[in-house]
Amino acid sequence: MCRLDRPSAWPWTYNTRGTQIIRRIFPSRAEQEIRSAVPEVHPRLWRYALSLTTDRAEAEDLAQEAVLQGLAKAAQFTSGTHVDRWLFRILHRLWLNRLRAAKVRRGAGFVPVEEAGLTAPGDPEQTFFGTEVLSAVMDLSDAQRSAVMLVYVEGFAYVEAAEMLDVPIGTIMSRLATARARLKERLGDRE
Amino acid sequence: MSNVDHMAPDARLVAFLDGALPEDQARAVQAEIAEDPALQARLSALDVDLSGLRSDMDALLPDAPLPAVLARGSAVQLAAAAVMALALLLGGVLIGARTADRPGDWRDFAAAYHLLYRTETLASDEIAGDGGVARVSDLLGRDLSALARIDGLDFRRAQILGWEDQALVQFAYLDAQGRPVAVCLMAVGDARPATGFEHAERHGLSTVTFADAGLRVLVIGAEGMGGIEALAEGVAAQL
Repeated sequence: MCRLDRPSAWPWTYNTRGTQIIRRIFPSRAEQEIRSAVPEVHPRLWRYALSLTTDRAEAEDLAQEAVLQGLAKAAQFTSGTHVDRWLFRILHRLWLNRLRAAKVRRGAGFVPVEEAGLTAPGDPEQTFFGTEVLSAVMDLSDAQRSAVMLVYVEGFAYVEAAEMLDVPIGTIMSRLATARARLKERLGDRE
Repeated sequence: MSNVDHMAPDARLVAFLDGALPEDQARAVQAEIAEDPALQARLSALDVDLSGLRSDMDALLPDAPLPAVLARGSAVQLAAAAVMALALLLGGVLIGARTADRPGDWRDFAAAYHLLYRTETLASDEIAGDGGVARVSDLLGRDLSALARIDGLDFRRAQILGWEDQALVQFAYLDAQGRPVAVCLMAVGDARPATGFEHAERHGLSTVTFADAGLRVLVIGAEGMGGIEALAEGVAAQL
């Protein structure tokens, strides 16, 4: 069989420096959507990163990198869909890459919440209670804590959290069940 | 939500506790729990109040750093702007004076930041000392204590923020309905003339900007343009 040999992409679609510059000057609709959502989504990315890293500077760096990568990969973002889900997913993958790269295994026994700067100012009694809940959540495994933060703090549906963490929905629910059981053991009945 | 019959028992109870089951399935699970003491015990072992977690994490939001990616133009964008400006000049087009308020400027960021405020963000804080008024007054080199006494607003705190290399001061209040209102101030120098009110909707919030007494002032809130304008008049009267 005879087949015309042709390049897999035509010249005008090559990702040259020139086309990159043109894209920066005239951002795509997807990129514009991401940019306009960043002021609202970035603080949430940062606090999620803080719950993963327990370090403010590293959280800032991670959230920033997620936004930059989200913009760099804007061509893969479907315009009109949810920017927050897209960026949270990117951030989580970046975090996993960092963990792998550094071969950091952080199971139970994280830095106490007070040291991580996670204690919010406010009414002393509230802060105390808050610190206890936060502290208990931070002592969960990475996997359980991510599920708790995405579903119970960020308000994502199970299926959305499953997509972000790249696991089946059943895994998310079972992580939430284990997390709930551990938190209940530690915190008991508090109303 | 996948079918309740296919879920692991604990997962089903979690979905029940989270209110994530369709009504008919939730009713079925409830009926099952009512008849099964073992299931009741399991439900109780999973039923933990997590509302404190959410409010603690929400309280962190105002502390989030600004994303630097949007704060400054990239080298490529600056170079492109320079080339375009040069082309326009060569074409004999007179470019008007560049104003301080570019699109996507600090006011958009301030409004987006304000969007994260809830009544609880400000109501739960006990006012410490003077609420930070002396500190921000020192920073901007003028007495701003009158801004803690604006008609119709319950002053909560004054804090130091920043925009690029400039100090940005934010006074936070609750209005009569308990909605957060913010007054943001940046020094622009006494040489700048006072300007009238400029109205804009930003991120669904009403904002009024004006310059007076060497300050650029931005008033933000969710009360609608009329309400914000009235509050801005109160602010202007105190400057």
